[in-house]
Amino acid sequence: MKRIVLVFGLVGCADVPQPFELEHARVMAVRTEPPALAPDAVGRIDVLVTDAERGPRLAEPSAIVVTAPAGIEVTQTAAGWEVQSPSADELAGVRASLGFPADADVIVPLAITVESSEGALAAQKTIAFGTAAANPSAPTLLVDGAPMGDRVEARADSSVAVAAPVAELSYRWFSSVGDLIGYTTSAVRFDDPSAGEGLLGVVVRDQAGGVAWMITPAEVAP
Amino acid sequence: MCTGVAFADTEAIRGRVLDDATGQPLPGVTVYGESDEAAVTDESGEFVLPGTPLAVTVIEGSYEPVVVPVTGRLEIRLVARPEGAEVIEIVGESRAATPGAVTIDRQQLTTIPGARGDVLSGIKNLPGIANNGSLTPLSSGLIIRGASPESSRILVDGFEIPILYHFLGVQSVLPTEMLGNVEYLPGTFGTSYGRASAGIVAATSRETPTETSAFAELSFINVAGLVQGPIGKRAGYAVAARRSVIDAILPAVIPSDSGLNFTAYPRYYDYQGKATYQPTDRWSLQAFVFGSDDGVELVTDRDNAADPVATGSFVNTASFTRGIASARYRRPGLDMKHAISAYTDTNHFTVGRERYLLLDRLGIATRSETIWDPTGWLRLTVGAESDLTRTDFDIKFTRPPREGDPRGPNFTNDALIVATGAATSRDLAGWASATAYPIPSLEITAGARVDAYLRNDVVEVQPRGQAAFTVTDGSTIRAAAGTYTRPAQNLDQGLQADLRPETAHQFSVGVEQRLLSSVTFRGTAFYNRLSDLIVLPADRRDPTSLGGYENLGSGSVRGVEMLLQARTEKVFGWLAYTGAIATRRDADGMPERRFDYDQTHNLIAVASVQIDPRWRVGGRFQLTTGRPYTPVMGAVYQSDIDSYLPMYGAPNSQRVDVQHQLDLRVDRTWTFDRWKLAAYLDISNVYVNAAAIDYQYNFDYSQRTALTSLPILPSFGVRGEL
Repeated sequence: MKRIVLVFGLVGCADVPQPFELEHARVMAVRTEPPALAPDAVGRIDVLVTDAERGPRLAEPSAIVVTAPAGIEVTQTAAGWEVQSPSADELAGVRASLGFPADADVIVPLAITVESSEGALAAQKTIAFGTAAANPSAPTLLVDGAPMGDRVEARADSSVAVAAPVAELSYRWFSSVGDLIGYTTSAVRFDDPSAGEGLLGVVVRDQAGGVAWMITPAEVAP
Repeated sequence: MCTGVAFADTEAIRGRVLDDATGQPLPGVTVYGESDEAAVTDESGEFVLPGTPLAVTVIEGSYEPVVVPVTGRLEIRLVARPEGAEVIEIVGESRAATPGAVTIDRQQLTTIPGARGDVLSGIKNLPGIANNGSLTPLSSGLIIRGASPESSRILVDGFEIPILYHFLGVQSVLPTEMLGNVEYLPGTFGTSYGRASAGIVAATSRETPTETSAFAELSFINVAGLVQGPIGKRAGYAVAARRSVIDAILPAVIPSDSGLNFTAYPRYYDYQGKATYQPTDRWSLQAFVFGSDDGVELVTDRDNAADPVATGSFVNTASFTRGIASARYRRPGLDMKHAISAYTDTNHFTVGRERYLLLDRLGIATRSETIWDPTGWLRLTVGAESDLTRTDFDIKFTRPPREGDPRGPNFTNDALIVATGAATSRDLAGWASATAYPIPSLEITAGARVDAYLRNDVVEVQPRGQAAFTVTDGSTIRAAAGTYTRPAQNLDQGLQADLRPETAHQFSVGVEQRLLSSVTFRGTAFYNRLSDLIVLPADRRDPTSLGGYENLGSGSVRGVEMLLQARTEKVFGWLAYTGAIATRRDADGMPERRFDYDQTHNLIAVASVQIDPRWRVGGRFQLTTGRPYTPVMGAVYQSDIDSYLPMYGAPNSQRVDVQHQLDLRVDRTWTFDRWKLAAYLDISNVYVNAAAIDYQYNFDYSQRTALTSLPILPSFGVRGEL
């Protein structure tokens, strides 16, 4: 009997962009408001992007394509990108064509393109049609256990945490004031004694496609 | 190195003994049969040995001892033993040697620079075996003729061992001192071996010595010791053990900012014990127990955004123990071997807190083979083996990587195998072959092997044949062909009982030519046609892919192997080249692509010089094509799961850097009245060529860094020997 051999490279990525760096061009989150639509409802789509030149900001996609199924339309209006939920009858027809149960939500993937100072960025987002849902609330933050003011003021060894974290939510932190430890958890520590002023952000996701974020100025003293 | 091809009449074996370096006949040399027969060579090196033994043995003071099968006209070439070499070395030619088969003596293999004295590491320098430093840098197996390690088998006394190398691949699980012959068969092997669709490495445990000896050794790699000797006139013993010292060295070389904290540093140990007893001149009994244990546990505090579940700890413990009891009966014209073996094999792997793979195996196996030589011109071989293995498993783990997979497992996003239970595999096999010598210079072997993979409810009949024609003295042509299968037992394929074995139809032709008295050349061309390759058509992220393996793949491996060997009294060396192309289709209509283990060119040059009785120096240079990999063309951000999905180019359409490195070794020996002290310095990759062997991508696949081979690996050791 052959033995399973598993191999892991024990190396770090010292000189490549880290997932928490706000200076690296990337899509931070795609938000539909709301994330799941009842029949005939209208949802709005926007994208949180960042890059070295302009930092984090809401951006309007240059293109959104509905990959499947047919009958779902996304349009660009003066107010931004909108998605129109089909009627109850149309949704029933889509369910039937896909072989879904009568009460199942129809999950539709969207292919999104958004421009950054470093070129086009590609993202994918799904929207549920059938039962309405809401995005989670934007988090509030604690610095070393105390509520933050209008900005995060921290020391190099401080911790910053989401107030009242929820186990069902996932968290992703971003920073332009130095390295972060624990950036996929509800609390982070700074890991850079030379840090100064910049931005600190956290994106919150639920398991149904809902998303919210909080981005704040931050000053980290050595 | 000895060459021997047989000539036998009905009552006696005739032959000649020569010095391999000079080609001159050796008078006064004693040639032994299998019981009490013996003959002494005359002034022309000629001898006549009464009886019809299957093999003859020559033990002559200043030469390497040899055992030569009697398979035609007999010419025995003795190689002078280097001063200071170990005394007991037996080198034999494989029965019905196939094109490409190589047997090189242990003394050469252990002094190859870079092998660190390990004979099973030294065999990587033979043609047909890939430079796995670039293909599977931490692999525990061998890549033979472009096939995955799982397609070949490593046998010890006829029974398989689950791994060949300890963690990081720097040392094999069996020390050189416990091994007798190592037979390397890269393909088209005979009916005695099965359940492999590529090659065979068959090691035999060493005969216990007639004199008591011992050694103790300390090196950068491990600490080792051995005691062996006779018990009375008919029994003997050998006991050995090793323990790694790498866990004492790693803390000094791992950067403090690596983010890695070892709870238990990588460590291994292995152990061997053997006892032999010869109740009569014709019966010999032996018991051999050996095993190994590897373990590592580490903690990383670095976040892993692409695979959060993999953050935290990695724990791997792996061990096996095998015990073999065997009996052998030999008389002129008859050789019977019967063996039974029991083994345990444990492999536990945990990643973070939520992923684990716990496998515990327990098995029993038997193997019997009888060789009957009734006439002197016809030899018959029949054999049978069985293997019963129970595997207890407790698994919550992602699927392992597949052949051609552009990425490793993702413990967070890949579909999981969640299973607890036990599975039993029952394999039976039988084989028969006949070797005939219609004329003294021609040897023809034909036979068939039947493997019954009962768990898969499959019976495979595999015809095989080999032929060797001695054109002139020192010039032999060989050809072989056969069908070979291996069952679906690798990785999680073993959980799926409805798979057929992978099949290889192998063909090879070769030539062996003595160019000078001390220089020989072997060349082989081979073609392996592969079918029923097991593939997983679905994506690993898809939970419906579980249990979804199918026998859809096909492919081929074709190439040439060349080995130019030179050996004189003080110098040995060789130039080995393998050129091969290994391609496959994952299903009919799919595009052809390179195998993961395709290595187009592999050139190895080895040289070692005994300067005087105290000093030996050697060098080794290797130049190989980089491994294939699948390029990343871009990535799409998956907003719902906060992860990037890479977009790949054509599978295995690009290659990493060409690999090349130089290894050097210096041995110094001090000889005292009662004991001997030896020291060696073995430096791998002397000019610090840290070539890329793979690429690791950052979180959004926008940049990559190279995983490199070890930049330099010095190893120093001292050894005291009684």
